[in-house]
Amino acid sequence: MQEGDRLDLELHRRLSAGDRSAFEELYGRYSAAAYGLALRVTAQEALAQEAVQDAFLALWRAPEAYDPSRGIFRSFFLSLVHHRAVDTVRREERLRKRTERASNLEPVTGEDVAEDVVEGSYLAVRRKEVREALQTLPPEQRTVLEMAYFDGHTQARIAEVLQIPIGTVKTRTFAAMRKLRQALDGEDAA
Amino acid sequence: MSQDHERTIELLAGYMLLALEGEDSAEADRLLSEHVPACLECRSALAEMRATMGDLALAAPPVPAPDLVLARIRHGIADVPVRRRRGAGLVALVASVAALVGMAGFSLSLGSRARDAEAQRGTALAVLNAMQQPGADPVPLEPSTESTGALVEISGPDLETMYLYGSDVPAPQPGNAYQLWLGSGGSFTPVGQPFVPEGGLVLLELTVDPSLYDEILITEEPIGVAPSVPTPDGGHTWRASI
Repeated sequence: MQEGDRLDLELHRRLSAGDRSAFEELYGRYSAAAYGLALRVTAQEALAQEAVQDAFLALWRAPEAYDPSRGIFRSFFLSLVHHRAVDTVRREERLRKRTERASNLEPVTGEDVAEDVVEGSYLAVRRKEVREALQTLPPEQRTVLEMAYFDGHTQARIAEVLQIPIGTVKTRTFAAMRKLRQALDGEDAA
Repeated sequence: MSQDHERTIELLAGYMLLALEGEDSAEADRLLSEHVPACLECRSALAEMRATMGDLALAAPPVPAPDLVLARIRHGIADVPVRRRRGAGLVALVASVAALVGMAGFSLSLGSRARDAEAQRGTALAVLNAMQQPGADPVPLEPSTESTGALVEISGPDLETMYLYGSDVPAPQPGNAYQLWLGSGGSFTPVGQPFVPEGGLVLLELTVDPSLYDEILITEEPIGVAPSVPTPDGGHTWRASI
């Protein structure tokens, strides 16, 4: 476990005891990552704000939802944000409109210096590793993974957009996730 | 890895990405409740995918959240605990069940995992009938968080079955399912199988004697792990006194 993960664990312990300063510290550590993710998924500021707000309030109201035995806090919380963002965008039925807007919100890579200003460097290192790991995926696998995760598309929709069989989407998705995990595990072991 | 397991885990990958719908979604629900809990290989794969999902989030560039987000959160915190109105949404719930009954080909999450549309329609009809019985006592469950959907428990003195109906119920975290508990004097018993809403809908039919219990809880539990028995003041996702 990294130092940042240990600090998260301690902050979560204090949060579970009702320590509001711990909650605010977690907000400081993860609000930019959460908002960036929600904005990437929803492509609308209002929806992204709603998703982030929901996720932090859920954390405050039910901190026990995070079980440290099941992984690090960061994974739990950002998955929660992702889940809320996808739920939000689907509920609003704005997926199609969002597609056009998303083209203006493509993630900009190679700006780690600026991102360090936005959030602590403890996330920037892992962020760089994840982006590098993503680049190791074959383009066709990376595409289906990003369309599902960042665009909130279902596998059926991805098959429709790419005009490939849904079975191919499933196979590529699984292969992408497995390769990504292997690449990141390599980073962890290094 | 066997071909069956390869296919199962392939399906679970789509589930973790929230990318399934229709039959695939129903199949993933079935696997998560019937197969995964007893399968070490699948549980391990789920755990790895959960970690991957968490990492993938970092590929999006961080963006400072507007100040108003923190202001709203602080306001929300000040409101804790949020108490939902009791009974105020009941009329709307009855109407929504009635609408379900009239829908063709809808699909719901059933405790029995029955996937037959007619069986589901029959259960929805039974809920509607139960709501209209003299003495029926529909009780809205109070959510732990402001954004969770509406759930109502329906039972009554002349009913031998308890129903749980919900709409706009958010899906649990990937790898988790909801568990229903009935309590008496602070002691809780898990009832039925873990369930996952389908399209935000929940429709459970439980053969229990409601008069034996005084509290109902719904908790979110990791699939494949025996749920921890809740305490009266412990964590829960929805609760109500019955």
